[in-house]
Amino acid sequence: MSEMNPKSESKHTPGWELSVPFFLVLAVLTVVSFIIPLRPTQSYTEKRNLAEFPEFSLEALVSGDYFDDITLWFSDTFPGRESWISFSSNLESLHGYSEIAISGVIMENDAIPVATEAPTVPPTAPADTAVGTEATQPTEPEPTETEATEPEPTEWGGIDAGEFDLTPGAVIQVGDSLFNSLGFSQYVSDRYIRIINGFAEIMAPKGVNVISAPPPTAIGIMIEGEYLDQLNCARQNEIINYLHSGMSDDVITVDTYSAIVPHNSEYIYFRTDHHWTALGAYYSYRAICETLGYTPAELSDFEEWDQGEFLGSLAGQASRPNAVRRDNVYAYIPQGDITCIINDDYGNVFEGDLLADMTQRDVNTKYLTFLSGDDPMTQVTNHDLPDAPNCLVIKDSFGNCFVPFLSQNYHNVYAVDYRKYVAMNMQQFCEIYDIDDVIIMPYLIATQSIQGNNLLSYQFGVYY
Amino acid sequence: MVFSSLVFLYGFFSLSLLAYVLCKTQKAQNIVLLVFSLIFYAWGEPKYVLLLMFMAFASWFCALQVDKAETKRSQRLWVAVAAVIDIGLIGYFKYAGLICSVFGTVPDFIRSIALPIGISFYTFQLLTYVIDVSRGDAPAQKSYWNVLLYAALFHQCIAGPIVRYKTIDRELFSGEPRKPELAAGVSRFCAGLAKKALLANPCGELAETLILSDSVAADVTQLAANVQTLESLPVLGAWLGLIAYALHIYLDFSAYSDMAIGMGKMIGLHYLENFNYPYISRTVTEFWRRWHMSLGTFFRDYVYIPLGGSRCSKLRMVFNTFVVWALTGLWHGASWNFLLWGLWFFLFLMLERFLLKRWLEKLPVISNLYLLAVVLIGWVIFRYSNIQLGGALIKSLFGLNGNALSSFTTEIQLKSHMFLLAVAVIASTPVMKWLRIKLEAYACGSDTMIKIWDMVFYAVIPVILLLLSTACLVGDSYNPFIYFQF
Repeated sequence: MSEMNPKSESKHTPGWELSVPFFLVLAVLTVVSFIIPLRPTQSYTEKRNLAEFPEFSLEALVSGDYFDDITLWFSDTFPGRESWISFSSNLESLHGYSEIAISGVIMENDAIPVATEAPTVPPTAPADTAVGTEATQPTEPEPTETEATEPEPTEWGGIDAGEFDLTPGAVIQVGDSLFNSLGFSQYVSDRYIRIINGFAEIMAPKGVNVISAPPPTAIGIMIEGEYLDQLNCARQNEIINYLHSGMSDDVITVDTYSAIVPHNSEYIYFRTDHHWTALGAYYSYRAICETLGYTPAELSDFEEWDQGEFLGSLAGQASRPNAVRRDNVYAYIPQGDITCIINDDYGNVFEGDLLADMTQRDVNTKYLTFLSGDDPMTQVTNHDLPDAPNCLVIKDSFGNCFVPFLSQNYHNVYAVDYRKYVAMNMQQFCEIYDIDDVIIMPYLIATQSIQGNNLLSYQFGVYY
Repeated sequence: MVFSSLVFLYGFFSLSLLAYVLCKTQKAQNIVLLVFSLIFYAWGEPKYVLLLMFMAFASWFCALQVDKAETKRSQRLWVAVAAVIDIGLIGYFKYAGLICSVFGTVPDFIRSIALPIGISFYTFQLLTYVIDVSRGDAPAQKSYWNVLLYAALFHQCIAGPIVRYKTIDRELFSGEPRKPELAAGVSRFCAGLAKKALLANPCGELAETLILSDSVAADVTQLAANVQTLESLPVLGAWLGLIAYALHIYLDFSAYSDMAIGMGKMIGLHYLENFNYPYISRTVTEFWRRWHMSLGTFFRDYVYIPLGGSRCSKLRMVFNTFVVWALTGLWHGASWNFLLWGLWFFLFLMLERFLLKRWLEKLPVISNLYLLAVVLIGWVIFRYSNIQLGGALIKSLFGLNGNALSSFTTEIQLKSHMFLLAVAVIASTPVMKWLRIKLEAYACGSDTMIKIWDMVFYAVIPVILLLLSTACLVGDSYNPFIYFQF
């Protein structure tokens, strides 16, 4: 092999003073990065606490963990991180051009078997639900003037770090909107069916109605089936049909997909967040009421409350952030003398807001208006309906914007977050709180996750 | 600690430079370099910093004995002692598992041995030092701390280039004032940083998306699922993933060398080039003259030539080449696929030498395509320690798994990364270098022009690259999927 040949550089020698700007920037950023108060401790966009400076221990030092953790802390809490990240997202959008972009890996998923019992075939997405910006055009409600009030402190919407590890999969950008991919797992679905059937079998002799109404996610409602096939995502009407066709007669099933999909030209899912909007939840509420024989409240019975511009959980994963259109959170204030008692993560019980005022809060936090965020248990009481039945809702954060609607038909609505509640199992809960209806509504991704099923199995006291 | 981390850039590097410039004498500067180098190494391997210190001690001691030895025989003896210690330790830490697997099961205590970072680099550096002293190519260093500094110098200790003692002896230890090339060093350092953060990392992410991440591919419990994933890849996806991987591995590795060379220049140390646009080669022989040049020259000077090189019988030459490429393969990792990877190149080197060379010289474009094909298939062997995975991907590349030509999602991946890949390809060729030389030559024609050129190339562009890279490195810490996200 030949001797290394130094590259044929030109003879021109640049002066040292040209390096001054580099060293200045290096020095400034070094100083800034050592000003600890400038380092953020939480990330609203990622819904997590950022890495903390590690505690010293000899063991951690020897193993190398101590320095690794300092490295992580240094980059995770870098001053101005949200702005840097936003800038780097814009930089990434220059990597290519595609109307659709995928961030992450879309996992292989099982073929959905044809339901054994003839399910009701939901209407397919309208032909004009094309892939593109048109699919997610929101209706433009008139903004409501609201008075700015002192913001209330609120907890995170998410769950503690490290407790669970569910990865919803890839984030797919279609035009101005972001979607979580969702696949189908037959093994997990069959287990889900057994858990719900097991619980319903126990509750049926006690006269408690068990209702299954899993909220679909945006991708299943807003994107046409043929595109879902190409994206290796499952058709959600088929998932819901499969789940419901396996459920026993003890379970009242509500076809949430068919209830929502006719409205997919309205603003029923956020473009930058994985949740449905309160309007999307309202259509599901109507379907549940109609199935149970209750009269649903009309949307016009509620007062619309504009919480302002919203940038949701998926915003940071946009492949082309410039194309993403920001959201708005609209809450609907129910009528009546309604109180909301919150049981928080630390065992405190206090009266909170059914709909918290988030108008003056950070743009990433607006969804926390609903039930004031995620808490293990929230009791919503409509004092104007003392003779109405009581309802238990087994929910995740999708349920937060749904629960306020139920206040129009129930005396008490107990919203239990199955990821957080630990006081008793739901069999005991129904007995103690005199529950008439149990609405089970983990969002569809949770029905397809082992962790989601483990949690539900624990909550229902039904172990499969 | 890696160069492309924020803690390095805005913690370690800045503070080490500050401490360095505050020192007036070369001795004091060397103490600063040594202290920071040991901290740098300990940051990644707190325990093994003692191993590094011991190996430096052994080499320092043996080299002194070689220097003092009066007979060739005793010189050889001390070289052998150094070689046994160095090769014995690298053998224990890196190859014990592989060797045991030949004889059956690998004991648990062997399985639990962690590979000390950079051992392959600093072991070779220390070996070259002792051998060069015995050959009279380099003087024996009297100070142990200086030998330790040579081996531990954070610029090149953990990821090369493999710097020979004689290359930097004068600049590092002579006592003559060093001649820093600040602007050139900064420019080179920032180019390397940007290559890593702006190009190599996203190419790596694309490759992981398509042809499995390292951790997924290494999970033996997922083997069947991984094979299925690779088998079901469309042809376009397989090529896209492999090309992204090839770009990633070159840009990543050469970026490290660029940063090392840049940091060296900033303080007046000149390391030799390690890469010279290898993907534009037309033969495997040429590729290895351009790829990881410091490793190539090590094996040439310390294995191939001592074995007899090519000045011997054809059969012996073939054997010598075989040994070099088996070792080159194994140097990259203690796994059979690396050996196979080395021998894959051996095969083509021999084919070229005895058969293809004449033809390849006459066929410019075809020879480029030939080289790329050999190297790309080589990267498949390199990437998967399990041959089933490599086989599945190679078959997918040619549609032999009954896989589709393309798919909706693959086309999306291609479209959403096409500009990145185009820039990465350009960065892997000398186009930019050629352009820079042309522009600089043009600018040299007038004083104003050269001032503007210098300002843009050495002052503005490095700052822009530093800021863009910082944004990407902060962005890398963005990790929303760790947590339960209902």
